[in-house]
Amino acid sequence: MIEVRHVAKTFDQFQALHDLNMTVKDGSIYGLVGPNGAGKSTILRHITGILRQDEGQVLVDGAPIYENPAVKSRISSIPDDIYYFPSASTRDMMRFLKGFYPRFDMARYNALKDVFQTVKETTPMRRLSKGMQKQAAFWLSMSCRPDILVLDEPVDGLDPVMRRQVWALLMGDVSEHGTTVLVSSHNLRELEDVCDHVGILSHGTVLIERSLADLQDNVVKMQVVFQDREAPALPPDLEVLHISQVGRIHTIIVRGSAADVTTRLAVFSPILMEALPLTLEEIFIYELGGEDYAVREIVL
Amino acid sequence: MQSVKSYFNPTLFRKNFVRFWPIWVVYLLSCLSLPLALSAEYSPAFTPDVLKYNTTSSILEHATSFSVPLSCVFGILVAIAVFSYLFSSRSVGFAHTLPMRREGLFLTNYLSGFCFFLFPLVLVFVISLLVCASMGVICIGTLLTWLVVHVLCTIFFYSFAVFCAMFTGHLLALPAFYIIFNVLALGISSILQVVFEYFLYGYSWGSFSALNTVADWLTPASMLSRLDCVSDRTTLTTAITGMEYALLYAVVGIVFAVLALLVYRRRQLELAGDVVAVRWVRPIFRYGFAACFSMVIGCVLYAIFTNDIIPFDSAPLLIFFLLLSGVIGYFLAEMLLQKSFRVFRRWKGCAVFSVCVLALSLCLAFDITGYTTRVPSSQNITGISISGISSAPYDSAATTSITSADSEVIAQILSVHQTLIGLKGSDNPYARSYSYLASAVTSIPQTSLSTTITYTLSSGAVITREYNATVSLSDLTADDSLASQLQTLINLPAANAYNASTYDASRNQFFSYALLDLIPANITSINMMVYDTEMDIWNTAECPVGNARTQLYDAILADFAEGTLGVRYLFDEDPERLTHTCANDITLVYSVPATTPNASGQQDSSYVQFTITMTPDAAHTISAMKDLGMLSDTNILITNDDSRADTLYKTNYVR
Repeated sequence: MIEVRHVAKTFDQFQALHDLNMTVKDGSIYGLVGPNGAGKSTILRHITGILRQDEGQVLVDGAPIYENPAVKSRISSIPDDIYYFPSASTRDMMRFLKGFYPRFDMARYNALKDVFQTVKETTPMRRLSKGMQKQAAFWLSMSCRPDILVLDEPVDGLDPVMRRQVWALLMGDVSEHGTTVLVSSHNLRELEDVCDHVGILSHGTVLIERSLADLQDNVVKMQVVFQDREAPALPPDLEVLHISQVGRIHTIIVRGSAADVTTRLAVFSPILMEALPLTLEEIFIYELGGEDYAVREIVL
Repeated sequence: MQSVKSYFNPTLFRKNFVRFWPIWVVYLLSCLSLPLALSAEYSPAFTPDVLKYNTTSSILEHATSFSVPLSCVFGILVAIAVFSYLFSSRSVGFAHTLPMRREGLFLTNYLSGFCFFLFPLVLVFVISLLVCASMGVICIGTLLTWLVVHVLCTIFFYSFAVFCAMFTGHLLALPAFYIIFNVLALGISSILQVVFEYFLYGYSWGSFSALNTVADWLTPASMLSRLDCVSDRTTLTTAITGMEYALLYAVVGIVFAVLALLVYRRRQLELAGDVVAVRWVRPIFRYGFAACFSMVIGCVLYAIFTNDIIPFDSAPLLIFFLLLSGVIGYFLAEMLLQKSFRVFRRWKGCAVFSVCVLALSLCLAFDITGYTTRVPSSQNITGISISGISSAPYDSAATTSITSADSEVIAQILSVHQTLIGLKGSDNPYARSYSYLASAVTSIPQTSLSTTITYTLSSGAVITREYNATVSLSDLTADDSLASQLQTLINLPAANAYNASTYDASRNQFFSYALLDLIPANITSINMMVYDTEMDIWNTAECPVGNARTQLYDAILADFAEGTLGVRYLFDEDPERLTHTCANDITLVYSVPATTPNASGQQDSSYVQFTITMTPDAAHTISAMKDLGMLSDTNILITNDDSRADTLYKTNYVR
């Protein structure tokens, strides 16, 4: 289990992380989402043991990660900007990583050759395309047989087929080996398909951290046609995140469970009323609306 | 408990060797110059002893000549290579996600870099051993010395380069820091002394000898240049000197390596790419850079302006340039640190720095320590010397320095010193060059002096001052003038070089005996060039052997005693000197027995040659020479005045 407790980090005078708390359970796929500059990559660099936090703790199974080779040997990561030695091929990098990761699995490495067959093992990585470099990174990382896989924008650059294959491999590792996957991405549609837990980061702190199911159950999109063209005054204790109207149809985003909100709106005897689940993207947008990060109308 | 493996990783070690092979291969090729040089030493004509001598000399010459430059250049190249991962956020991230402690990363990289040197050195050692053996020479000890010298120098320069690498996150900044730090102490010491010289009238570069000593020690290349090979072809022996410096700097190198590790442990990796990657060093860099920039550029601007644009020196102008350069330097440092040109909002630090520069400059300009006016009391002086005073005639006493403990000399030099201090306001206090312009527009002879006065005090302290002044022949008429005081000084009996120890320029050493205190029996020759009026040529008139030499030497002493011989003149063009000195010099050869017998038990002698410019007033000497046949109606003396006249050698000569 990854535990991040009250972590703070300042770069010069800029506070990148502030009292950040998050928990990633073993065997889960945890999606870390947030606007640009929220601190996603920074917290991932703490979790991979690169950066030392100014305050707080970053722990794996109760042990600190920073300067702890025993813990770090269980973690593998794919950063947004992949590093490889200049002129090194995938095979060279495999030999290098094999010397560091005690659980490096050659059988797995050889088996993954078939999955990543577009990547020639002996071709220098600098000559590979961005997508191929990403494939090579997955190939190497998964061969390390990590308990924890930390991925920063992992499928960026991969074609749709390869994305699906990579996610399938990851989910296979999670189900077969109990691998914990911590993934940061802006592709919320994809995260929604694979993540079981989501943390929303803003201004260096985690705003919300829940299972995806809880998150989706906590906000509901109601499509309502009231008796009158204009919507009636809604109860003040109903936490409306957003409201819009197209024709006579009112779309109301409300915090709360679908059943509860439906009951509350039923008192207005609407002509039509339907509760729809929100996508992760919609949750992201509406949750961050309160953080002054709402989608704005752009008029040029 | 940490496993040993987390402190050393063989994979990383091997990877470094494979990745950076060009560096150690080039180093190996450089070192292979030793066996090549050794093989060139062989000749069947050499005896075994000579061959061994040539071989060992060649090995030690190679060690002393190549160890410092090779380790200095390759030290930084290897450090750049093995710690190159620290200079970009991608590579630094990759390296630190690996399951190793920072100590492990450091030690593995450090050791692999060190082995870039060690392995080629050991290989060259073995090859050289084989080359020597093939020539029939066994010199394991000498080759081991060669190996040790190279290893010691490598430890220092490589560790120092690694130490520098820990403070920067920028690839180009590392070699710059390395070069600068290698000469920084000497540079700061020199520029500080230039600033002091500009501000403090009479400042001598020898004033703070401790500063120079510290600067020397902090400039390793300078101290390690004392590594030398001393060979004696006559005894066929060869030895290496300065090993203690190499050993000492190697120890310092190990300290640097340990400090580098400590810095690396605390290094903030997010600063990869920054010129200074350790937060607490950033203010040191900012203010240090600004201070150095202020002094160097300020002094350069001042020198340009005072030499070419305005014809006088001015402390306010110097302060202005120091401040201006300091401000520019401060913002340049800030630009390097912030990687941005928009740094001017950080003006507060610059203001504080400028106030400090102004305060220090004013302290120097107003000489709050009283440096410029300090003259020691004569009671406290145990020894004194003054140099940079040339005088005529140009015989053995024409030295430019006087060293004495005589109270009369001390009093006179103190008087000269006070006069020089008094020139501060009236004469241009910052003048340090001869006024060619003034010399050109006036027909009065003048000379520029660059004189150094050194006092040794009873406390053991040494006070040194340096002055530049221009003195004119016309000043000799005023008793309290500098020229007059110097003229008096050079003619004091205790200051006169005939009376004092004699300097032998050919041997560059002082002898502890004086011309006027010789043992006549040891005089091996006295002669003088005389002008032959019949033949119109110069001849050598030799004093006969035996008592004649004693007679002539006594006559010379009598003239010295009467002041008709040995008078010194501050100005070459002094009419008195031209009239009262001759173009003829007496040459006296003196035999000095060696203090210890030579190898065959015999007492060797060395010979000292004295010259004394003859004067037309030296009645005793002239009389003795006439008696001895050295001077006659046709073999004559010629005064310098006549020597310069158009009627040369025809009239007005001394018969």
